[in-house]
Amino acid sequence: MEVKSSDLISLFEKALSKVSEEDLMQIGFVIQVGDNFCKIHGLKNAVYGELVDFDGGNKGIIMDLGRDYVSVFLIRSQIPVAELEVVKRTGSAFKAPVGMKLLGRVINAIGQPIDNLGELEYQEMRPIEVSIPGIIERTPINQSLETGTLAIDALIPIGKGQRELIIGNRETGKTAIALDTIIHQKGKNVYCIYVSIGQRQANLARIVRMLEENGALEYSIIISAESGEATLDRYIAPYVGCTIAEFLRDQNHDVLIIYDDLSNHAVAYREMSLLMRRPPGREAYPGDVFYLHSRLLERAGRLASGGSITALPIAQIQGDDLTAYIPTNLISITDGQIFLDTKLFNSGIRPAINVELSVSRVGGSAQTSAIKKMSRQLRLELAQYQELLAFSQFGTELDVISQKRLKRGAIAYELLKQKQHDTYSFVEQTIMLFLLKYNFLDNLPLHEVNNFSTQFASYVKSVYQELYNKILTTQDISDDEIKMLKDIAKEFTSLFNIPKA
Amino acid sequence: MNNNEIQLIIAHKYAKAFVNVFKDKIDLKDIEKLQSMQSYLEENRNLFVYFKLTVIDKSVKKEAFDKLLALFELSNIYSDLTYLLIKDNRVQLIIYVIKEIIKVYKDYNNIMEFNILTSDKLSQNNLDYIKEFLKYKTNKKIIIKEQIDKSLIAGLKIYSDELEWQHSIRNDLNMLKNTKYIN
Repeated sequence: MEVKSSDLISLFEKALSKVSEEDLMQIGFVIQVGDNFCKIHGLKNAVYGELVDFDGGNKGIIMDLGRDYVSVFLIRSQIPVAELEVVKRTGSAFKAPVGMKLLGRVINAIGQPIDNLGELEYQEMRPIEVSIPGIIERTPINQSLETGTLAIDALIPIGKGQRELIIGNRETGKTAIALDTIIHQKGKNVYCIYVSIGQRQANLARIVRMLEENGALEYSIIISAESGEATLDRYIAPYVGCTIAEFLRDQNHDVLIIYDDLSNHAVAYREMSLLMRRPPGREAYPGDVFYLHSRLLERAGRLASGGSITALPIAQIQGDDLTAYIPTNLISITDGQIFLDTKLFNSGIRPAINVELSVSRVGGSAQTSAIKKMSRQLRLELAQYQELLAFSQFGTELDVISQKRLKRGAIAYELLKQKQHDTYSFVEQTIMLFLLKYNFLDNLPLHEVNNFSTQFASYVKSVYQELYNKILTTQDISDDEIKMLKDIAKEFTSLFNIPKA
Repeated sequence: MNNNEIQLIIAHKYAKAFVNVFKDKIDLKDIEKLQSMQSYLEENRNLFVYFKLTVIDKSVKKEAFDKLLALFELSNIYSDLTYLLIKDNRVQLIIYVIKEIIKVYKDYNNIMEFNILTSDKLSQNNLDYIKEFLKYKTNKKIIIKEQIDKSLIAGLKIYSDELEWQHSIRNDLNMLKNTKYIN
């Protein structure tokens, strides 16, 4: 029996000739399927970044426009796409749910809840790629965002609207600093968004539990794109997080957003680009990998109308090499970096912040005057200490001044040590730095420095509440207050019982 | 459960319901025609691009299927089935449904299909003898499909989805070749 498919095709073509050209341009069909990726013929008027619907129930985002086909990345890896499957344009970009009720929730990159707390209540759906606010709409960064970490707030201060990169090898405490910053925002009217990109599910569960235990989840939103998720999920997760942050900012709130981490984000984009056959460049990243991160981080800032987005992107490096492609890109995009050193970490200095290689380009003007006054000499002292420390290792006999500097440096490093989840308010930090500046720690054994300073801060807080509150409200410390603190320090030193080593 | 498995389950449900309703109207000739239609559709999968297009009216899709059924001389009951699939937006399942109809029908009627590969054409007597042998072995009604395969050299190979008999020179030679020590 001879059956010609052309007879049937002509029947269909006759029917199709009656359909308007415009309607036909909205349709395409799958010609090639890859790993969470496919090429589609048709979709003539398709736009870059447009969302498309597959007949099989999947959805995808157009990531490349070719002459005869468009490249689409699939949103749901669980729903397979078959060859010749029909695809329809939606005419809109991918949108993420936003709203105040997202606070306290854990969602995936496509905006679905993954915390078993029921349906997500959102106010609106917003496209994840938007134009960034211009210069006129922005205002200079002059408000401090406390991280609660003494070393950062004293030496590398962060302002509201700043973009500060946290960079370091694996297992150096990058995420810990970011999470401590979130925990420290309790009661400070700063909403926090944590975007987890390409991490293990167990890690995320631990982070969620930790935020919950510290009462930080109620003012936080977690967006997760785990390592097992589709490449597209890992690619869009930070943009989804930023879209939610922008919504909160538009309600005149201050928002802190953490991208953990952008190295994984760049790897996801590299994967996508290679699948789309884009020419690979340095380290096989595509040429537009700089734009990938610059357009994301430029969305942070402080608006004149009120509200700000402070971004703390995290980047992982290998072998303390800051000159790799993605780290150098991120360093040039951001307003400074906090470099975490493996050597410091292994020698017990935690947070392992390398003060010499860390910088905050705009945070200085946002730093509270009280801390600024107390920490003025600190960076210099630490730098001199590091220099002399290297010198002293040769066994050279040092003069008295150098020995004094070495001792001061060691005390300063001891003071900057801080346990995870133990954050200090700026008044506590001011008081602790005061002790260092006015040599109240000089006669203490090194292992007692931290203990003494934290206890002194609590002593002032509980016994001299008036003074404590005055610094808190004025955010400054006057000469009279310094004099008063000196008297209190003398009083406390006599009270402080130094246990025998 | 992946999407393919889900589709197979749905197709099986359509097929079972169809055979239940029309078991008196389906015969062995229909099954042969369905098999031909199935292989035709598998060879011309590009037709499904049109069948799945929402801009093409359902009546056009029905007309195309009717044309196809007429060519394979299949009755109206199959037209109703195809229209149901078009209406439910499950036209892409048609190949699976046909496969399942054949399977369910054979199960209902205790039929087993065997393929016989031989080097030369078998006489009717031989075929009847093989049929009897298979009937005795399986206790089922037997359908035989004969194929000539010169590469067997001599002898035959009988197989179904579940059973297989190999009695060919090619097979014996292969076994000999695969024996480790030959003196």
